Amino acid sequence: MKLFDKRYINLIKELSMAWFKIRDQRSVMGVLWSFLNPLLMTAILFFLFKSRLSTGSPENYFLYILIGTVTWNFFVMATSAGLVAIVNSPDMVKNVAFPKEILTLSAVGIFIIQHIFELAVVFILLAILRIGFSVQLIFLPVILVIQILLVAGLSLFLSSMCVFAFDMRHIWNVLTRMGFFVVPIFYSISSISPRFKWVIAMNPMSQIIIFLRDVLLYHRTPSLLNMALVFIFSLFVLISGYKFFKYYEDRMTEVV
Amino acid sequence: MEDIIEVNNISKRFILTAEPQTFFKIFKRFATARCSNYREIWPLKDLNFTVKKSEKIGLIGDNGSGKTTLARIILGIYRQTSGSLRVNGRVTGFLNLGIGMQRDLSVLENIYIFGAIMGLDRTEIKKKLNSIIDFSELRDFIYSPLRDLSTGMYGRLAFSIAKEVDSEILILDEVLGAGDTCFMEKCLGAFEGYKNSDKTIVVASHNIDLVERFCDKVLLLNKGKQIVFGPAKEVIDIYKRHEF
Repeated sequence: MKLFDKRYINLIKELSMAWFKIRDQRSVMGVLWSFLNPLLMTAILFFLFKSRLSTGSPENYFLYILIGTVTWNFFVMATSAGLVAIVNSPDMVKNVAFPKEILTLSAVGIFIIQHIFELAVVFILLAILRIGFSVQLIFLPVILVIQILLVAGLSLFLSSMCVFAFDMRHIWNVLTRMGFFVVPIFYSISSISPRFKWVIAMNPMSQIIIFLRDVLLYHRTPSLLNMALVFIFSLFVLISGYKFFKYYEDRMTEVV
Repeated sequence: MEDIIEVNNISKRFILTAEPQTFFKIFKRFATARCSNYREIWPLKDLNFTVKKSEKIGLIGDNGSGKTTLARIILGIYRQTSGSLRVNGRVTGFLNLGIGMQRDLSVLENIYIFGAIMGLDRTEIKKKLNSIIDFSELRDFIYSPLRDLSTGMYGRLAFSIAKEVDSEILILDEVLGAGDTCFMEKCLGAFEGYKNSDKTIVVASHNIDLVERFCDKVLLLNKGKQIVFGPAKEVIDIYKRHEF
């Protein structure tokens, strides 16, 4: 594939680094802000729902929520940044010959770096709260890969659609806001009535959060069948997203 | 000499829609199977020419004659609607220099970013860093953010990086306007250096004197049609006398 050309890997690296630095400069607290955001969100949800869930709050409720917000945050931020990657750089798209998916993937790349930093915060809290770590951590890289496949694939879809339909970003904004409630971030999936449970369980993001909680919080092996299914699904999203993007790439260059 | 760029019957069509598209409109169009208002234009019609290795080609014509579209097609940014194109060798384009540079980052950081866009990696740039900074005359500014630079300095920086690119084929689109007279002379100097190299170069320009001085052959375009392709002097005479 052309994308694995040395020049293009270098370009992804330089662009991600540049955009990361700019984002860092533009906010007063810099990178610190990106840690504070999920922590504050978690604190709010924690105090809101600590004693209000009908089934009682899960064990280690603060970390339970934090793992959810960090994972969901990564998904939303990365796909939203990927979405505007092409429409935000029309000059580059029109004047430089390169595979355009580089722009989308670089935008997503920043958030992969940030997500790893945020996971480090989760690790620190796991140590402080004496929950500790187990051998199940070997599944963590696999789950990360699943997340990256899913986010990259969706971003490729979204960024190409955004060129042709500029309101795509508003639609995605609304969808992700609704998604927050369809994913078990502050409640547990077992507290949902069986009639609606499947809606939440079928969602790959729910599954990813459940895997992460199994590995980090409960020190047990996640359902291997579910992991395989979500992996295949994410791979499918990436491949079809890439095909979709490539199919419209030429037209995109003219329109953007 | 071997043919390095072959253009056979190339035409390009653009479809222009009158209004910006939204998701809802696209959905409605699918649902009602009706086409929205659009019109098509042909910025290029049936171009035919071959460029041989190490030739210097000028591309002239009035605004909207299709020079930039042709440059983009040769670079592979656009795909032609019909006809065939063959390019033998690595081709780099200098269209609108300075694309992708970040206003909020330092000059030094931007050298690496723009270098990456032009296809140079970090180690290559590190080797050439001194020559880039010297040529751009911006040594006092390398740690200041790009937004503190004037437009002329910006152009100087971009050109200094671009000239380090080592491709067999270079496509230039109106990029020699940057900087003061002194820097212009320097650019032209670097440019003259290319004249005797075996690089194949295509220059689109409104600067007829430059084209006449630099190019062996010239392609004259008018409203997307190929008027004439031939020795520089003859074609420029035709252009000056407006015989098309």
